[in-house]
Parts: sequence; structure tokens; C-alpha cells
Amino acid sequence: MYQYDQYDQRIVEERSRQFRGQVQRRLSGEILEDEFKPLRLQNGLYMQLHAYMLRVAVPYGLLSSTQMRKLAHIARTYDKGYGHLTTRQNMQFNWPTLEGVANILDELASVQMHAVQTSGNCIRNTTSDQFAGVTRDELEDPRPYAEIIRQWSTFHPEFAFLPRKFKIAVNATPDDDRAAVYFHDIGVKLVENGAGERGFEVLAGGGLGRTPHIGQTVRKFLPKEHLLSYLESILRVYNQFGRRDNKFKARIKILVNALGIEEFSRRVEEEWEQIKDGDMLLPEEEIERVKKHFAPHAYETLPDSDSELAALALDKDRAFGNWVKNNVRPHKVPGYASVTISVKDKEIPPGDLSDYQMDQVADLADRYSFGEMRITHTQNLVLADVKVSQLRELHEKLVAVNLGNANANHIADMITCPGLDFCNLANARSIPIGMRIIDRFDDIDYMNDIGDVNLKISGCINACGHHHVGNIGILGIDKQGVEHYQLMLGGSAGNDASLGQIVGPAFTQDEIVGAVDTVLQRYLKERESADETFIHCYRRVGMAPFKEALYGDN
Amino acid sequence: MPWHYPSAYPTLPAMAKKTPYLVVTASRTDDGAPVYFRAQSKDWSEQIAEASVVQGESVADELVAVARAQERAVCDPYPMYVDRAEGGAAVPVSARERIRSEGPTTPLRRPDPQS
Ligand code: SF4
Repeated sequence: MYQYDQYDQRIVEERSRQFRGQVQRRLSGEILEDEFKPLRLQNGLYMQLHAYMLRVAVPYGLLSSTQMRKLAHIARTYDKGYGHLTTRQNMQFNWPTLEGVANILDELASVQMHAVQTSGNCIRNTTSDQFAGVTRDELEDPRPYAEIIRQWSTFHPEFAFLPRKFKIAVNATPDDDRAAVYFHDIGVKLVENGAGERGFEVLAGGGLGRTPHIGQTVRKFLPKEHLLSYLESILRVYNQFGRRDNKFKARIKILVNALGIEEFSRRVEEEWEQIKDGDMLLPEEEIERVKKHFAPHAYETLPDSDSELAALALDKDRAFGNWVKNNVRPHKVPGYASVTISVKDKEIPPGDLSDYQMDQVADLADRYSFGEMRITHTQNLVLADVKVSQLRELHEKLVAVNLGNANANHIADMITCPGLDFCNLANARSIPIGMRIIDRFDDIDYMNDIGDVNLKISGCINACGHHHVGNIGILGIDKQGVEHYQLMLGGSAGNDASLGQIVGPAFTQDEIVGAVDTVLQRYLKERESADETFIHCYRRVGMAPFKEALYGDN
Repeated sequence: MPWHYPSAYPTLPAMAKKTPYLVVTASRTDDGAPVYFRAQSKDWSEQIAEASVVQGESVADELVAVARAQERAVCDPYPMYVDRAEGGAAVPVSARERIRSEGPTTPLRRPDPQS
């Protein structure tokens, strides 16, 4: 993984030192909240309902075991003994004190981490595929490009005060978009042109929130050396023409749609003509330099293991077999596999990991996966490089720390935003609804019968839980002063990007779990075969049967 | 239709209901904890039951002005509607403020497995 050079290290330490001074001035009363707020936000520190919340940046979700142990230590020493995985592949702490945060930033700097640009109107953590570098279906590892974007965007002086926050994702698998590039301010897709050359398709204007939009193509093929100059051009057009008068209309998606994609692209290209051959050119040597940080691990030469993996999925130990079937996927190197550690369990909020579990996962990563792990945007963890021969052993150890659930990519493997239990902006709670849905579908055979389906819950229209792109989406609303939940169907964040549609009147908190069940029961009746997934069935039969099942003839 | 799975969590009362009663609340600077203003001692308590309850928005605004003098200790004081429980203590009327005063309605940390 990428290692800081002296310059990176110095800048992060310097930032931490500055923040300690700012905290001291705030605590002494030299500065008050109005002055302090922009300073703390630049360091990822929010104020929530019960306490401060610190969001730690994890570039494209990649963590070393040393970093994970540090996060465990931080959770134990400065928080309530747990951390929360976020949809930007970061980790956040919900209970630090102000003085504690000054210490946390020092601790983070000691393992090449920080919390810079995890809030505020700047370029946020660049996300990517959680199976980057190990999946068979990618053109090449997207992480070097995500890292190049991270270096360009971190402390970029021109883009520190954009009209609104700005999110970029990079994907390199033509047939399976796991990075949701169609729903980012900028989506970058590694592609090949007709001549077999590699480059990028660049999308812009995607996003969720109160006005969801699917990203549109700004340029079909961009040679690799122009990546940064092109992103810079898009950001400049946005910075210049994006609305600053209305927070709700300030995201780039509004600008792209107001101008139309042709006019937006024309302005970007015009800007790009000015700078494309300047000092932002990305020479091959620079790409190769960054790529070295992501060189393949020292894999052993092992026989092909696809048939073994298929056999393990049918293992007579059904807990293990189901876990292999749902949570393990083939690796590009024979004899290895990638494991999704589900952090979805009925006992605990989705995406929460205790300090103890963090330490255990770090140990397991050292033992089974070259000392690295990844945070997924679906609030899980991945051990990307596990020997197939060690899967059983690994599963036993995960079960022992309550991380062996076999529900990846199934109904219980949901995205849930913090909602009204923590968030200042919420209308309704999300986490209890999520936990009750996990509880309802705790039966693995029922869950397997339902098959691949994703569910996403947001506690308000800001859509941090991505409800618009859930095959099943739930949106918390405030209906005459009481928490209610709108149900949406048909969303997808993948290559077949689509936005979910509201089924009908909202449900109460006592009704919503049953409403989800009703939808799934109807799907089981409607599907043509077990191979027809929920989303495909929905696209074939439409909303009507589900509406009828939920509301009858009314 | 099998869709009633009663919640294990309380059904929360109406949000942002207006009542005659208000208290002043803020987030404590040290740790962000919700705190409530005690007018007489001009300090803050973590217990909403100890908050000074006033009647009417204009009186509450005056109390906010007094509380603002303490912006070293707290962040962003604001008035909030409450009901009065027996004995006159304040009880939040919105789900948001109830959760804020009582803590999250979900479990916080998984206990470690027994070794
Ligand atoms: S969707 Fe709304 S409630 Fe949920 S975290 Fe975002 S702002 Fe808060």
C-alpha cells in the first residue's frame, strides 16, 4: 500500500500540531464556536446529537493491520470502545472529547493517517472497488489512480472552498461497478478504446441527496496522462459556475443538469485545452512509481482452486458452506480467495466494530491476508488475499468474534445511515429499523432463497444511506411529527444504474419491517426462477404487484 | 397481512410539538454532551430534569441571551419545547430531543466474547 514520504508525514504532523493549538484556544475561550467550527470541520470533526464525531480518512478503504490496531487503540482510549464503518470507506468515532481529538490526530499521524477533508466543501475521500487488485474482472488495479487523485486533491488550494462537498470514485471492472461511479460528482471508469489503449471514461453530475441524478459521460475516452488536468478542468468549471447562493442547489449535479451535459462538457473541454499540456501531465514513470506501492503480494504458486471453492460452498457444515457461498469470491491468483467479513448482525448497529474486534481482525489479516484489509462502502470489511486452504480456519476464528455471518450481498447486508440516534439532521431513526430487518431475516435458508438483493436506509432526504439506489430503499420521514418510513423499489448503483420509485404511503416503524417482508414474499411468488434476482424480477413485472401486495386495492 | 413486528424500541412522541414550556439547551464544549441551563446558578446540567423551565418564547429568548454569555463552556445554546412531568421537571416533546437527552435507542458496543 502507499507509504508516506517525508513531505506527507511532515504535513500531517504539522496539521495535528495546529489543531491542538486551535483546541486549546477553544477550551480557554480565546475563540468561540463560530470561529472554531470551520477549523474543526477541516479536520473531520462534527458535532452530533450526543457528542463530537470524528471521521478518519481511509483512502479507498485500504488499511494495514498496524493502522487497524491503532484505530482499536483510539476506540478504547478516547471513545466508547467501538468505531463505525462509513459509506465512504472511512471509520468514524462517535464519542471523542475535544481534548481527546487533539491526541487522536497525533496517534493517527504516527500510522500515516489523518482526518483531513472528511468534512466541509472540499474533495472528500476517493473511493474504489473493495476487490481492487484481486478481482478477475478488472482491466487493472484502480487504486494507483485513486491514490494519484488523493495526492492531487489533498490540500489543493483552489478546491478547499467549493460550492459543496465533492466526491470521486474510480472503478476498473467494465461489467461490474462496485464503486457506484454513476452516483458520484465525478465517476472515473478505466476503459479500453477501439485501438486497445487504456484510458478513462469520465462521468460527472451523479449524486443522491434530495435531487438524485445518474452521472453522465463528459468524455468517452481520456488518455491516462491527462487524468489530473481533466479532473482539474471539471472542478474549475464547477467552482466557477456552481451555485453558492443555495445550499440545496450547490452540488455539481445541479450545474450539469442546468447547463445540459453538452454545454457542461464544452466548458470543461475549453478549460482543458488551456491546461492539458501543462505541468499536470501525468508521465508514465509517475504512474509506474505509484503502481509500485500496489505491487502484488508474494503469493505462493498454488493449483487452481475454483472447483474446491465450489465444493466448499456445499460443505456439510452449513454455517461454513453458506459463508463460502455468500461471503467468499474467487481471486485472480490460483489458490487464493477474497473474503467479505460481514459487519451486519442483529445484536449491534450495522457497521459497528468494537475495539476488540478491530484487534482480532488485524491479527487475522496478519495471519491470513498479508497484513491488509479493506473497508467497503457497504460498511463491511474485506480480507482480499486468503488461501483457499485456510478458509475454514479463518471462518472459525471470525465466528468466535461474532464476525462470521454468512449474509454478504443478501437482504441483511444493508447500508444504514446513523439516523436520529446520532445525526443532527435526521427525521427518523435508521439503525433500529436496520437491526430489526436483520433480525427478521436471520434465517439463512430464507435469506438464501431470496438471493441477491440490497437494502439501503436513510434517516432523511440527504440520503447518506443511499436509499435511492437500494433494490429496496427506505427513507425516514417526519409525518405529522411521528417517524415514518417511505418504501422505494427498483434502485441500483451498478452498471445498470437506476433510481428507486416510491411505492405508496409511508409506513410506521412498527409496519416497515413487515412491509419489506411482504415485498420479498411477493417477489418469491412472481419470479420466473430462482435465478431471477429481485431487481430483474422488479424490472420485468414493474411496481403493480408489489403495490397490490402492500396496499391491496386501496 | 403479516407486517406487524412491534418495535422493541419506544414509539416516540410527536416531534417539535409546541407547548407553553421551554428550556435552554446546548452542547458542552469539552465533549459535545447535551446540557441544560439552570438560570439561578447560571450554569449547565447534564440532567434535563434540573433545567430551568420558563413559559413563553420571549422569556426563553431572554434566557438564551443569558446563556450566550457562556459560550466558552457550551456551543450554540437554543430554546426547546418541553412538557412538564409531575413535580414540574421538564420532559422533551420531540423525538430528537428525547433521544438527545436519553442517549441512542440502540446498543452501543458489543460485549467481548467470553474467553
Ligand atoms: S441521511 Fe440524514 S439522517 Fe442519515 S446520516 Fe445523512 S443527514 Fe443524517
